Amino acid sequence: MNKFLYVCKSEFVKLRSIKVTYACSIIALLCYWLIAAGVIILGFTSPGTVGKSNTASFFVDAGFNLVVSGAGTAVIAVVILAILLMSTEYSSGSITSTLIATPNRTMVFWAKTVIIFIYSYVLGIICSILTWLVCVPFMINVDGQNVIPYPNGLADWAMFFGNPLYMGFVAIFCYFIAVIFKTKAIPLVTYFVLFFILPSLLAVATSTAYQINQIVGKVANVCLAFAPSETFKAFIFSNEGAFVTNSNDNLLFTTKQISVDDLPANKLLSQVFSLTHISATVVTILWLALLCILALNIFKKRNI
Amino acid sequence: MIEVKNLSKNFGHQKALDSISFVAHAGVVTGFLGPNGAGKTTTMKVLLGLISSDSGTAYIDGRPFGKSPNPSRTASGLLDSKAALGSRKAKDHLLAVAEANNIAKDRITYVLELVGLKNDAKRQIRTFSLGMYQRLGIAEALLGDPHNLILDEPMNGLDPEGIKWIRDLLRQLAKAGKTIFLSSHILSEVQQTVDDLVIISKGRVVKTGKLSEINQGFSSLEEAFISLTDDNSNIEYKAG
Ligand SMILES: Nc1ncnc2c1ncn2[C@@H]1O[C@H](COP(=O)(O)OP(=O)(O)O)[C@@H](O)[C@H]1O
Ligand SMILES: [Mg+2]
Repeated sequence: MNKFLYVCKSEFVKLRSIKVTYACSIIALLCYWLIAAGVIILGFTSPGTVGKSNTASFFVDAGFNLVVSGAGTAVIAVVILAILLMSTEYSSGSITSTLIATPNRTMVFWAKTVIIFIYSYVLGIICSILTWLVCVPFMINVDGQNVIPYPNGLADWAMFFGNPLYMGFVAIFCYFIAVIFKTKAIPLVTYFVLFFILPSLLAVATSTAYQINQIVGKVANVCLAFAPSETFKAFIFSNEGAFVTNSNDNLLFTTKQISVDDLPANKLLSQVFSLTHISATVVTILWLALLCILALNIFKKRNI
Repeated sequence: MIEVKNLSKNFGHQKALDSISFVAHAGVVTGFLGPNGAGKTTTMKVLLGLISSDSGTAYIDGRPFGKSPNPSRTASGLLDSKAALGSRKAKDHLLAVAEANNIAKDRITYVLELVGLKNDAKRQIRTFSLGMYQRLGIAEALLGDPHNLILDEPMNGLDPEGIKWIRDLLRQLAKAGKTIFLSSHILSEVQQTVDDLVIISKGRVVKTGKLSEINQGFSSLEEAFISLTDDNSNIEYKAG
């Protein structure tokens, strides 16, 4: 066990001794700030258009979401770092020195996993705090009202401590892919396909196929519900994706592909299949476990 | 002590090692000689657990390196000195290795001083010359003060002064009881360094023994080497 801590320390030294770590951290912070800035600008410029009578009530409504919503965007920065941490070992050849220092590959694998997860998680928390600090001056006096978003109740704390989990889990997911492929490019492309292209394709397939062939539509629908891009959202507590409950106690999909109101297939579309929050969490863990087992086995058997 | 027994390794159809066996003893420098492509690097990688073998055993101090309870004390090696992340500072590169085995930090200063890189510790590795890379690799190999040192062509890229330095260092380490196993494709390079020789060619051991015994029957050691590794064509050797 001590030995594992030493290997983790070694991986931490590697993480903190490359510039790209700092670059990615700053990019993550900028993502948080940009998302918050977007909301603040929206609040000050057009409260009428978002259905709020005044800016103050807009911010009261936005609440703590303002501080923690950056996780969904900042995740890209930690994904890049997670991939680089593994792929640069192979591109530079330093994997040799890593494995001579620690011939137990399982330990190297888990140490990197732990360090990437902790880094991503702590980064998410720090970004939230820094975003809060930056928001305060703007909101201390809005129309004579103090609308600083203090965490209020369990839901806000869940967002504060929960959203960075999304960053952590997506980061290690991509790290596992990087372990399998060794390169930078393939894991990055895989990430973008899995988390951006595939879900949009499936969403389109769900809504359009429904009108042509219900079976195809259903298949696309189920695939989307189980796709990592959707299940990982179980950890984004402020997101409108998986965590929004409807009256049937089900957790919805994304909201946009259901907006084909005028089509005759509307009735079918409203019965879109989705995972509950708990099942999405379980499926996410299964995704991680599956990829982890695959990556670890490939890593252990690989020649270097 | 390093013991290799009936070790074989194929890369697809390419036979890299064909049942090689030898022993490298503690307290002596064993030279691992053979032309380019003979299988030296492959043997060393198998020894250090970096690649798997198809059959046979490769033990360091009585067990596979991967099963060593204290790897950094058991063995270390220098395979490719350029295999380091260029953007990292030399000191951090060594610190990562040290942390993994809970090696005291002052060892880093010690080995850097030993290899003559004390003043370059904070430089990015990519700014190093080939000789400095080599010295850093040796510093890394010595960091954990291992009982067995496995060095793949450590004199590559070193100037005559550097070669003399490494020669003295290795002799001194052997004298302290360590097993030194170093490869080369140029006999003259290691002639004054080694006690024992293991000569391989095309994945097979062609000769093992004391340096002094090997050249019996040949007019010179160089001729012995060429003749032993000659498989009706020593073009490969000459090209290397
Ligand atoms: N990763 C690999 N894939 C395929 N062939 C390899 C690989 N590594 C080494 N070989 C082959 O194995 C043989 C031995 O190589 P190597 O051990 O590097 O020789 P040496 O270090 O003695 O010059 C060579 O024929 C080489 O082409
Ligand atoms: Mg070689």
